[in-house]
Amino acid sequence: MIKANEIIKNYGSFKALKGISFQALNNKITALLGPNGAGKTTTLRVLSGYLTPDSGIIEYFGNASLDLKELKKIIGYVPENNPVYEDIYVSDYLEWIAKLYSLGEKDIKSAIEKCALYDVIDKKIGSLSKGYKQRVSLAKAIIFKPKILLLDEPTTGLDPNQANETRELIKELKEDRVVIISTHILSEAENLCDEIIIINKGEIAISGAKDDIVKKYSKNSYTLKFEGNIESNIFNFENLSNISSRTENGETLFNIEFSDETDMRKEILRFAKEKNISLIEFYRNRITLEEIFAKITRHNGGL
Amino acid sequence: MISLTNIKILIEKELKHYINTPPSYVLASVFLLLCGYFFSQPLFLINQSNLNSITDIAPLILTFFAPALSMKLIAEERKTQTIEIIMTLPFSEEEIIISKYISASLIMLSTISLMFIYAITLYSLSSPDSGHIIGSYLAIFLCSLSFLSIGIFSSTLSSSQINAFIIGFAISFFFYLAGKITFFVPTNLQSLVNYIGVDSHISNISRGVVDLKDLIYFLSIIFIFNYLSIYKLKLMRFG
Repeated sequence: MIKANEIIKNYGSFKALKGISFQALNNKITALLGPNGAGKTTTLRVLSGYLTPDSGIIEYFGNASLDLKELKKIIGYVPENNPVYEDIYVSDYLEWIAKLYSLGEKDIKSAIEKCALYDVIDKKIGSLSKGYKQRVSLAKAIIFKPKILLLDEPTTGLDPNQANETRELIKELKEDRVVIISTHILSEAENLCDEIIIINKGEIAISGAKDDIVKKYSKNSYTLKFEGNIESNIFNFENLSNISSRTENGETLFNIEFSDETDMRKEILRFAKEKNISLIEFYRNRITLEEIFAKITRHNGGL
Repeated sequence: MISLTNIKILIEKELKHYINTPPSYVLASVFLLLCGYFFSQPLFLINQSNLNSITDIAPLILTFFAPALSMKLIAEERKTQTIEIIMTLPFSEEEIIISKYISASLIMLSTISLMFIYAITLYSLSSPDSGHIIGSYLAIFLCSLSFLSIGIFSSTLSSSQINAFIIGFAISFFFYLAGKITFFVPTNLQSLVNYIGVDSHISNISRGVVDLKDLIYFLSIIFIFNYLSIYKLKLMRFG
């Protein structure tokens, strides 16, 4: 587990991190979300040991006084924009990294296999496609089975297939380690991550389990579509708090919101049957991470 | 603590980088061509069978060659952002600078070693003073290693290789020039300026007299600039 307490990082007069505190758990993928310039990359750079924070304490698995060199031995890090050594062969690069961590041929093969690098092993890294370059960097980061994996925007610039493959790989990698990824692709965070940290202007706007955050921001609301023209005053639920409707092509679409958390799906079906009205579409509304993100960052003056 | 294994691993990567990049060969060829020209001129024109012309001109050529060889060492890593990779691998700043310095030095020394052909030529044509020959090579080696340490320090100052080269050249040229302008400075400063310049030290060693004072001079430059490079790299962690 990584526990960061009151981390402050300034670049001259620019306050990149204004005392952020958060934690990232084992066996979970934590997403660091935020608009451009929010402080995501700085956070990862500080966690990786590349930057020294101006103040604050970071505990890695309960140890706050880990020597920098020791820390670097447990962190696999892929920086932003995926920088690579262009003129080195993939095989030479992985062998070089393996030597550094005193690893054997078996570990190199395992990383090559996991990152599907067989086809490009004899090529120079500079000649590879973006997707393969990303995989080489991932192979470099996981070859020594680090306890912590930090990936800064790992799917940016990849085509949809490459991005999906990378996401699948990241999912596999979360076992027995802390994985933190920074991303501004909200659907990626929604599908891939267990924990969310939304950071805005160097401050944590919200953090916690993704499901808890979604639940917190979700309203107990439903969308209903009826055949024909229906008046909104036929809904007589006691806990009804808000209702909106519109009629289109002989169908009426309702959006109804309740003041409590009671699951109203059965009630709504019973109501439609009782009133003998033809319900043709019906679902419980679910707030997306994108909506939560927009709500938080706009509220705080972001974007 | 500095790990020799880590240094060896990094040197291996750096040397591969030098070997795989054509500019290294171009640089070495230009250096050897220039030195060859200045060696052959007095040998064939005035039958001068020694390396004085080389020890006179080599420091000036090295003010270009050493920064050109070392300008990319850190600047390129900063420009391509691979500095973030190398500094998050389990290397210390000391190991990074020492390895890069040793790699560049090995390339430099192997280039200069090709100049042994001059000694062979001299021995085949006459009987030159061996002390002078050995001293001359030693002086060129030490001067090149000093300018390389200046070059690597310059490389930590900018992410642009051109800027790194210009800074490296300017500092090296200062040490070169200091020995040439001794007569133009006030008498009480003459010995100091003379000591700062590389000229007097090179001329002492190339005579075959290896004085501790001269060795300390070159070793001090190497140590100070490598130390400054390490310090600058450590500063980068503070953003």
